[in-house]
Amino acid sequence: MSAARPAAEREAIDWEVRLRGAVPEPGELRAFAAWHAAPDHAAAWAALQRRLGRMGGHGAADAAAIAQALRTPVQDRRRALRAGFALGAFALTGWGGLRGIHALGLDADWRSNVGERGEGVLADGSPLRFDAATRIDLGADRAMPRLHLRQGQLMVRARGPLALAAGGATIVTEGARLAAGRFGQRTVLAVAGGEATLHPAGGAPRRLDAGQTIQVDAGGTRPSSLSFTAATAWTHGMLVADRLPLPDLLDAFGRYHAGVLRAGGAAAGRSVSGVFRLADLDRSLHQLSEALPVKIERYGSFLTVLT
Amino acid sequence: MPALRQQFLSTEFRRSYGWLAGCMHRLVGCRNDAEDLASSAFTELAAIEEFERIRQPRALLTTIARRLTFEFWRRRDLERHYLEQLARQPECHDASPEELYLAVEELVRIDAALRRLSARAREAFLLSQYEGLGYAEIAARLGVSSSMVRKYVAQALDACWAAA
Repeated sequence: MSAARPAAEREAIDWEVRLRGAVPEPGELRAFAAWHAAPDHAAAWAALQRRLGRMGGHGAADAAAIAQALRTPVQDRRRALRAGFALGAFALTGWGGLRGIHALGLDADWRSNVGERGEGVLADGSPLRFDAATRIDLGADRAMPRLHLRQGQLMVRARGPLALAAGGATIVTEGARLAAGRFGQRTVLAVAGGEATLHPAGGAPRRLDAGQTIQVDAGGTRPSSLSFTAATAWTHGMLVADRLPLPDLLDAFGRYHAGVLRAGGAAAGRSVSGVFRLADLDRSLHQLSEALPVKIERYGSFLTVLT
Repeated sequence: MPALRQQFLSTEFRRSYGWLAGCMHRLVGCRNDAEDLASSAFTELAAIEEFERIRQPRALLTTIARRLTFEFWRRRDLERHYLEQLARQPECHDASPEELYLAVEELVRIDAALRRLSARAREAFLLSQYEGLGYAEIAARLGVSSSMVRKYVAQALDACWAAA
């Protein structure tokens, strides 16, 4: 019995055990009444009876169901749990080893399927995370590793010199955190925890300070109001859009959706700002239909069209 | 210190969240459940006061996640068996979803409390509390003395009261 339990409560438990035995004798009942006359005893007794009242079993059917449910064995689950985590650790070792070999050869690429985010490590130990449906090539550029984001989104913490190319622009850093995302024809690049140099396609290099985010498209390069945290919200299953054209937003949604998402008609010309949950695309689409004058049409589970 | 703590947690989150969610996914087979469990494990990690004493965050996360997964499965098993048993009873009354939810919550609490006891103590209590058997009959079924049965019931009452 708990050492911390007050004497009155311990005695209440003892009385409960005694009284639920056989039919109590008159002497026993008198003894109980005498004990119960003390206010703190009465309070402890009432508290125990309230607790027992909440334990269910109102009616024989419910009581039998509770007893049977509580007899459910736990051993199978424990065994599965041990096996599951052992498998997990093994899978990780194999996967990590494979990645290491690729990274040393500087010829690795990373890719993830729809709905599956991933992570990796560069040869210098820089940790890399990437969004679902992402493709990254790794090469070398003047003796520094060069990541090329072909599609999707990534975040990398550079442990040394690193070049990151996406959507025609390249950023070079030595120790900053970089994020990049492709959204249709547009690319978002963000820097945190250090500085970087931006090499726009066909333009002069310029400095990017920590906390700066830029957006690159066919029209050139311009600052974005997204913070680094917002640009990497996908690492938490969220997407933060800042005046993003709807087709480009659907491109990002598509990384979490097995079918095809398309914007047509007037919807294709609209832009949207907001925070969307990638794990719950149905809700995010509903959110869009409330924020914009668009209509959602589903053709089976494969094709969803916003007009 | 709060900044260091924040940095530790966000570094660990980036480093291990995907890994952990992957482990959980293989275990529970459903991505949403896996993400829920992985998030809960991180929430518990974030609640640890002396984070600088955490030497192997992944080992700790695995330990937390293992317990959470067990609790998740256990709740599901208890709920399923309870509902199955109720459905089998001829005089089953129709409980509202809210009543059922509260009943399962209570079931989970009692189960956790009773799991700290020996198998015999647990069974003695179930027979006494829910099946209305007398001590002599329970003693005969379990092959122990009546006074032992009383001790078992007292242990179980103490454990369940503490879990209120």
